[in-house]
Amino acid sequence: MVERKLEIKKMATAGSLESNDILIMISKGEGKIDIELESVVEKQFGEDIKKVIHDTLVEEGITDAKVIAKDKGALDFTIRARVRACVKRGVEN
Amino acid sequence: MFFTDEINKNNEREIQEIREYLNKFDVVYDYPEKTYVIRDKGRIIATGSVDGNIMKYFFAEEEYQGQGTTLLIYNALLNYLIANNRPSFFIFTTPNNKTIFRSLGLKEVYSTDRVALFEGGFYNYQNWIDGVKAKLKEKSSKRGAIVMNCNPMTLGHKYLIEKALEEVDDLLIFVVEEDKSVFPFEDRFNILKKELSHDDRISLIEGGPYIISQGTFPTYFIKKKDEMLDIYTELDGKIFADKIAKDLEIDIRFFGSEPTDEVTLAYNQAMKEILTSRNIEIKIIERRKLKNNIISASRVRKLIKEDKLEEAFQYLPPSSIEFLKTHKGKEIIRKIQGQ
Repeated sequence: MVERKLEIKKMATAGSLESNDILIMISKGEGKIDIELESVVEKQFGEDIKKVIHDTLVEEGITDAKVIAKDKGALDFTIRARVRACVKRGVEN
Repeated sequence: MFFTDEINKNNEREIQEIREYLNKFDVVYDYPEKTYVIRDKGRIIATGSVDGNIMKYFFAEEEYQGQGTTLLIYNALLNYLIANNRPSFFIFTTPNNKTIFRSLGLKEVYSTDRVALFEGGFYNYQNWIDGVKAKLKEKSSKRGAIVMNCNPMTLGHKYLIEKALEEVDDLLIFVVEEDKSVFPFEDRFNILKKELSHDDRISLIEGGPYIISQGTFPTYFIKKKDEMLDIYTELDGKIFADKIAKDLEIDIRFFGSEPTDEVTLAYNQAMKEILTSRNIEIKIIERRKLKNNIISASRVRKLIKEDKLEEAFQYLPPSSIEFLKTHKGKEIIRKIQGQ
């Protein structure tokens, strides 16, 4: 597999605050991936959600970003889709 | 299913429509940068606006509440802000909307009985105050604070600072960051820095968004002008007293006396009540005069406007004069003179 490395160039959002969705905001980081999560199921799944976001970012080639996520009970595939969309928007010029 | 619509500011009919809608809530439509509405059968049922990095004028018909209309408006406004590269924003709303905005994951900066201030995005109060704290040295004696705009810095400001330094050995000067002044923040800040850098008792602080100025406070309840000033002062005073002063261990705040401007006079009086009730001392320092004229930045700007530069210089410290002689300074002079 070819290793990709991408850089977040501008702020971007994806998703929404509707039930079963998640709102992802991304901007340039300070040298690492930094995730701030707020979730209706934070107690139960907070760490899992962060891991999904983190892993999706790494898969997309992002290692430096600040992410703010407001979760309304999104399922994993929704989270991954929103993170990917957000990265695509954030790396465009 | 509802959809958000933009108000087209070139469309008289739409303007009239939103004006009438906001009027119901005692708000005068003041052409904010962007306004979104939700309509049902052609009638506006919810709205929200953005101006700079402030979201405001959130209203919804009672019968439609609980159907996620505020959420839709918020999403539209958020996307607009992000698309325009504004990383952080504030929301002014009425306290009855607090639960909604909390559920949107926004942070409450402060609420009084009459107004609630929320913030969202990549920047927040904690980041700001931690940044300020990191730059300050350990507190060893009584710590004072002054909030100044310095548009531009005059001998009056310098006098106020010197007088304050007679009382404390540790003085924080907050420079109002919001750029509604003729002299840009960066220049106002640099002039102060140059003028005061030799004195290690002084810490210059970028005011950030938490030193709220009247310019950014939305014109809620504009029909009752006095009440608006009152609401603003309460919010500003309490944020300063309960958050900033507490976190930075400020013991005393200094103000310049205000002999002429009634609004500022009322503001100072209200601030005094809030601060003293929270055990923060307050000291009002008599303004310095020059040939019976009170030295003020507005007087300096007036003299510049009338092209009386030499006279204006009499009111200014060396760093301000030096700045006015630079290329950038000359440009500002031209701007004041309306050329």
